[in-house]
Amino acid sequence: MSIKIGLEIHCQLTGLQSKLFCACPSDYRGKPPNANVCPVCLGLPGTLPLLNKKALEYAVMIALALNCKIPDTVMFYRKNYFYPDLPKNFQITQYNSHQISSIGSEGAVEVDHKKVRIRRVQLEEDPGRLVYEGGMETSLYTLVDYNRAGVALVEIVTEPDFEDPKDVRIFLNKLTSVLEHLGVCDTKLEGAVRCDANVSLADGKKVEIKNVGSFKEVEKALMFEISRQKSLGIKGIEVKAETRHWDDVRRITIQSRTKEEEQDYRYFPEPDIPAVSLGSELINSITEKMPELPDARKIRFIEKFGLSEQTAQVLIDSKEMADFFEESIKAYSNAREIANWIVTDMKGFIDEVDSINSLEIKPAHIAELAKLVDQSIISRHSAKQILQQMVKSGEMPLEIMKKDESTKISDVQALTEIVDEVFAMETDAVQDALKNEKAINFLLGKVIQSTKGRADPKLATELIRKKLASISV
Amino acid sequence: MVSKEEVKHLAWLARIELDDKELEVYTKQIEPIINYFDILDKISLEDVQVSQRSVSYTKFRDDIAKELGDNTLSVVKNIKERFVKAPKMV
Amino acid sequence: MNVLASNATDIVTEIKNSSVSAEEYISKVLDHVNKVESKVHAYISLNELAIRRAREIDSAVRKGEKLGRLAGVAIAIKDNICTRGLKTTCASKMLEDYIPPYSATVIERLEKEGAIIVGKTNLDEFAMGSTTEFSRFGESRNPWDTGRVPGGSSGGSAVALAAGEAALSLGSDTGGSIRCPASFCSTVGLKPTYGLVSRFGLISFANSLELIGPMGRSVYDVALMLSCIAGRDSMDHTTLDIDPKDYTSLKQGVKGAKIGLIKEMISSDGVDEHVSKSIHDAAVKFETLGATIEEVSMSSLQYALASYYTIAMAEASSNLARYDGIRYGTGTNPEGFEWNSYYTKMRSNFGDEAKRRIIIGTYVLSSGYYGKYYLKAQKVRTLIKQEISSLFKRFNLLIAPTMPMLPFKIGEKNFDPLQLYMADINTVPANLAGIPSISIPCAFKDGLPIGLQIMGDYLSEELLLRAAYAFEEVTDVKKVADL
Repeated sequence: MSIKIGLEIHCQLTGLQSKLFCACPSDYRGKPPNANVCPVCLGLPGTLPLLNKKALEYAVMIALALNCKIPDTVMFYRKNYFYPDLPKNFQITQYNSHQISSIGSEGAVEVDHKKVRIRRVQLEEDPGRLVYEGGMETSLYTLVDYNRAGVALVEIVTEPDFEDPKDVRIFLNKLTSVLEHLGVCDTKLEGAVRCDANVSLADGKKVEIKNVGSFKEVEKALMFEISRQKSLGIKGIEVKAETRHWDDVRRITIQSRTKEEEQDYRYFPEPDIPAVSLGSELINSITEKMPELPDARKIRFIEKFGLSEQTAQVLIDSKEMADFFEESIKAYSNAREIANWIVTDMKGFIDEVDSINSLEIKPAHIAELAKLVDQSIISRHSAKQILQQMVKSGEMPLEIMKKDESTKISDVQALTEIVDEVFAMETDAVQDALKNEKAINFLLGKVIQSTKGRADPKLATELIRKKLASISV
Repeated sequence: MVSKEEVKHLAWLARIELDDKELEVYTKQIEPIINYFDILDKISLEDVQVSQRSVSYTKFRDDIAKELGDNTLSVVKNIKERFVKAPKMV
Repeated sequence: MNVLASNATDIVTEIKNSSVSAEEYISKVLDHVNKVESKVHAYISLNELAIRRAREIDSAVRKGEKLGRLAGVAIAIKDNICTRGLKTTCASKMLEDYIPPYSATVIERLEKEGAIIVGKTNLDEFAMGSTTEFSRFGESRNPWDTGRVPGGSSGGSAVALAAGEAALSLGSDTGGSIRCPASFCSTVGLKPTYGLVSRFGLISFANSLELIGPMGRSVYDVALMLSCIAGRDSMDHTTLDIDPKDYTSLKQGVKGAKIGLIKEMISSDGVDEHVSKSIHDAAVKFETLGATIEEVSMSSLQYALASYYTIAMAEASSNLARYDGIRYGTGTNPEGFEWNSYYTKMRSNFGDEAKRRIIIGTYVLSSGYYGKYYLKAQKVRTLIKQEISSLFKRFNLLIAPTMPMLPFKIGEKNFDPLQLYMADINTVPANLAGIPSISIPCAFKDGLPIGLQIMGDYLSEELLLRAAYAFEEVTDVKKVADL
């Protein structure tokens, strides 16, 4: 049975300092209600919108990353409707039905070797937030906080090219990574990205699903809705074209409570903002300054570092993971080894937290661990155990090893034998060490290597010095 | 031709209340005005592109945040603990 | 010197050389306001801080401090322009006790020059009208005959000048709202080039058409006021990238200027014969001043009103949507209300004309009609712009009557909206095209003023003002009525 899914995604441009049409700070999380408001974003009589030009740049970046066409001139439109969270009772947005006015159109993204077309990328303002005292059912009024009103949003609309909720998940992960790599939107912030979906089966009527709390929930909501529509089909009941809300507690879609009437938004060009000419200069300079995007980064990881496709994919899915990886290989160059540690043993820990950067393990830790394993100083098995320790304590591998008494070789006689062996093998190093203090470390390293890390470094150092002293005599 | 039903619907879109008498009077006044606008059909406009002034994106506002700290909220009459009170959507 | 009838320029001189104190002057103005307001009703509210401001000016004079170009001058501000701390009502019950927390850019610029706000003047509600009869706080009356309309929508601003209640006024002009009352009240009123003067703080009616403009009793005064308010504003993206400059160099005259007299605006059926004659006489005057006059046709004029009203009402329907009583303005406690009922109840504070325009504006933008009305109106507007452009290739200036009739009686036209709209026929083209246009006193007939309209090309204010000045020099008409 053919399934058609389309998405409508809103991303806040959290990377901006100010709102889209006024200089109020765009960062509203944790602020008191109505702290970030001014006459412009509150829509006071006589005020005029003042377009944030960096928002244009960010929107162009997103449109380019999604392979859209970008027009020479963009315009803003008014979408007129009444709602308490909308200070002017119209939203300033973009609109393509009369002419192409939005930042991007006719784009495309590859999702699991399939093409998903992007219908448009546009800039618009976020409305305020509604709050109900004591709960929506019992409250006799609404409380409105306009801190969010006027924050810049980029709306991304796809064609209904998805055929499987799994592909939607892959796409949303990709989009998240793209936004992070561009630095325009911190997708981890609450409410920074929202996704509505629409789905129809076998060319039947289209159902819109709204109120999906996070990207992660979209796949679940779609799966439910598809099975709901399928079972209606089996019973011979026609699917109604409607809007449904995702109830994340009951894990079902329900008929929208508010009667979503046929809205006539009476779009017309915003008279207070002249048409904006972008110019090829802007497009070119943005194209040049574009940060490396996930797909390109993945190819680089494969070609330059010899990673496998799967490993590279896991890494670039999260910009922070990819950054962590690249930081690590600066300290130690065995990329494949390091990548492996990150995507296998570390992954479990990464998945538990919001951000890889909140873990105690830093790039230097993994680098050293990989090096020790590579040099056969420790076994892979020991390394895994050391990793568990590192996550808890944040100590470097060598420190952990030092403290681990149970495996230490502190037996003087056993160690002396090993030291003798090493001296016999490393005659050049011994000569070096007689002249240069620092070369002792090399000999120490050999001793530790020979004992697979179990030599007591302090004791071993003592014995080495003693032996050197005895030679030079 | 503009009917009373149309005027009623338009008033609703604009959230303006009209009682029956007003609806009657308004429709009588509005109809000739809309009919007058039909004069726009008398001129050939096929080849006309709406001229618009365009401004280079560089002329718009820089992304700098300013904390106003002013008395913007002084104009709000119905306020509760810094929230603006509004009617509840059913 | 009768300060009440003086030009602003003379007042500034007198104050700067201490011949008159600002406090004396402002007190005289306020006394006069008290005396005549019941007859003409120019003002909705008065500025209680006016005397204090006057004292500050006097103190600055005594200390020898640098004074602005309008130091001490009594100015009247149309009540749709925001003034921080002073009630700004738009003559509507919707905003009857609204006090803006900020001032319009033009207000800041005027106050920087030392001007003193006497009060906020009456207008048609939200600037929608041509007679000031649609004010929700009572109509204003023409000082030359108080049984007649003063014109609108900036009626109060013109009345204040003709009644000696201010020396300069600010008005706004969307389809003639400065020029019409200027013509009916024998004052000078300029609608500048669109984008020359900031709209930040002007409470919107029709954003792509309207503009704030100066009004005064002499062309020089108007030029001086323009110099103080014009120039780019970062708070308004629709302002042009122009530096503020001085427009008061007016003595060059009009020798050699080619002036077109717009046929349709002077000879159509609807034009009063006395008006027609006055404008023909004015044309002859320009010839004696060295200009050449030629009658010219403007064929797109017949579509101008339809285009104007479609666009104006469409924009108005959207601009006025924000008035729902929730954030500001007349609003009651929303507790317990069904939300749509709250909106409709609050919005019943609009007057009939405002409601009508909102409904018609909604109609022309509604789904299915956008192409038929709004889009066509914008295309027609483009054609009008093009025709005017080609006229300015042949002529330096265009002249016509400002209004096709003499000021009519109060109540005579306010029952038939379409009839009233027809009065704007001569003034709307300048708004559609965005070109500057000035109305100057031309003549009187039976004690009623007739105004001459002069239009110039984009950003030709200097030429326009020079021509108006030259005409004024050879025209002797009264500017202040006996009340």
